[in-house]
Amino acid sequence: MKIIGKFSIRSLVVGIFLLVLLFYVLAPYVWLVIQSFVSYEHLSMSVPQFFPETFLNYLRLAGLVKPGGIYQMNVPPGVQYVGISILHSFAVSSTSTLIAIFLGSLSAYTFAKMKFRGSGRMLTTTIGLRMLPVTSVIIPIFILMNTLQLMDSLIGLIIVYTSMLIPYNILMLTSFFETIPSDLDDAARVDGCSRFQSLISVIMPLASPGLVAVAIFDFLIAWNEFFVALILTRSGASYTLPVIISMFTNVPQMIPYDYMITAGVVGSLPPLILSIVFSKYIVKGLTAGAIK
Amino acid sequence: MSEIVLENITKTFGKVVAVENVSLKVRKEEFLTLLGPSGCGKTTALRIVAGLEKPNEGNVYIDGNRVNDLQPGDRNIAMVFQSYALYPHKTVYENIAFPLKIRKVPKDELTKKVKEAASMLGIEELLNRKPKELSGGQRQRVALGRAIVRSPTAFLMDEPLSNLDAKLRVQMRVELKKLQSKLGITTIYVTHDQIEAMTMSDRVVLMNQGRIMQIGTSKEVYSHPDNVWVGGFMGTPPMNFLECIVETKNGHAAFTSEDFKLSIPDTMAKVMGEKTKDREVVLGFRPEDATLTFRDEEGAVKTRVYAIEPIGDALLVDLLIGQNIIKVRVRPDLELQSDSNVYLRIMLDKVHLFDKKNQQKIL
Repeated sequence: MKIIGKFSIRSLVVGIFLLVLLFYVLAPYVWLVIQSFVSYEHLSMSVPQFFPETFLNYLRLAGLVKPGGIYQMNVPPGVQYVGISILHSFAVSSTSTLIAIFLGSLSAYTFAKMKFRGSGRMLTTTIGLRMLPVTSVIIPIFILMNTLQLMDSLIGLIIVYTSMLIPYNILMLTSFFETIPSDLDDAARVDGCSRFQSLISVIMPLASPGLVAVAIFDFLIAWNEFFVALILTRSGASYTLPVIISMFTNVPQMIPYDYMITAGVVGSLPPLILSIVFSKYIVKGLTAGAIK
Repeated sequence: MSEIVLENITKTFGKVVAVENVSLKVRKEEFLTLLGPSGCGKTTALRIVAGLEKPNEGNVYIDGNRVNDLQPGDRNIAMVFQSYALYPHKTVYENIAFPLKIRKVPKDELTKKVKEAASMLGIEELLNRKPKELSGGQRQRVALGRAIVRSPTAFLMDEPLSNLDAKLRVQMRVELKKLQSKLGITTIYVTHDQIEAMTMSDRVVLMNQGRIMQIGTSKEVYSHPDNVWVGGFMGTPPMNFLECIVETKNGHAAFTSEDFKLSIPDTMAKVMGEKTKDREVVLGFRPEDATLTFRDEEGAVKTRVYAIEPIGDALLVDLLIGQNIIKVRVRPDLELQSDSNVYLRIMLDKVHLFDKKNQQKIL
């Protein structure tokens, strides 16, 4: 194998390929972040700006600075709800994640540790139902939420998001729980635990990398969810961030790129921070079932 | 301490019958072993006693109380698993304390009991460690500590020594038996190791294919097997078997087959009686209950040496009688050649006679 300096040709080729891949993945986001610090005038120009120049976009998004002159026309509708929509997104995502993890764990424990007739079919059906596209069930969801008077409410969103997340959680958590030796569950039961106590005291602590990984994915799914939120929200009482950002396109005179880009960066921060902080658990969770 | 009764227990998993119509009584303070090959149903039977499996038929009684519907934690039994099943995220102290913590034992009393259990097993200095920091023998002691800490009325042990190396296994066998005797706790022990069963048990229950084949003391199951299977399972090397007919000619009886003819002494024939006349039987004898001679004597069977295995204090010799291979244990200084002819003398006063059809003991 030919060696160049300390590296073989093969490792150099692999390294270059990975760098290209990294660029392909990161470049759009880095570009987005840089452009969020570029003024509206320079955003509209055909010559791209590679360096940040101003914090004005963030100040405008936060409502701390009002745009003047002709730029008054590019203030998109809904910008006054940006702050509250972030809070709504956070509340809905974290609440539905917690409920889905808890309820999903109960089911996953049953499928993983309690063998009963039809359990295989039941698990497959649960997962299969999740395969239905949301668009095919949105009308019944709409009717249901309307009937229950949960339209335009955070509780309505939480209920729908939780029901979307649970089947996915059951699938993932069943796999994680199956990797935990059944002897531990048996030992806990002989020691005096009920099934529930065994789940809480023994199974879940041992499955914590998997639980954290699934929780992160749940949060990301809920945080980024747009379609259901668009249908079920009507006002500042329940708008989530993806819905608000979609409203920014409703400016016929001047497309508010500055607001859209800046809101996109702000909206990406919570999941990004979570992913970085819990990256160890995500990797552990993804690979947990891979090696026996 | 408890008396445990299994009454007509049957357990199936789909089409597989794991335990079939098993009934047995474990006396108070008794050390009873369930012994058998892998898949014979011994672990399933143990798990039924523990409450980890529900029988399809039959009842389990602990001290006269039917416990079929009681949860494992409510039966006041403790279990030691083959894998020890120590909670990896808890320290040794927390592992041992766990059964007491679940029962909401007051903290002072809990600490006292944990320290007592740790002291009894010599693991006080390990209390702050996690299971992954312990050796196999130490983990075993912690598992025992978790079992004894709440003074159960019965121990259930599922091959607890099988993960230890041979030397440690021998040491722990003795310690386990001493501990059980000291505490006087009724114990049901599951193993596939005959030595463990023979050395530790008050009684042994031999199981095969979900059924009980024999119950008795170590001596009884070894020296007086009830059937061919028990005779062939117990003992290393196992019992030898030769199929033949009890032929009577001119008032003299003999074990006869196309490969050999062995006269039966009159005294033995009298004991065997009319019921064995012209009957197809299986003649069983242990390797140590036969000798070899180089002369064609009265009562000796001509054989050919197939293999010779020196084992230090003896020779294990494989002999061919027709298509049958017979193993005998002889003194180590006997000079034998492979493929040579030798004559086998079976000690007829130590043979076991089984019916060929139903494989059950006749004599």
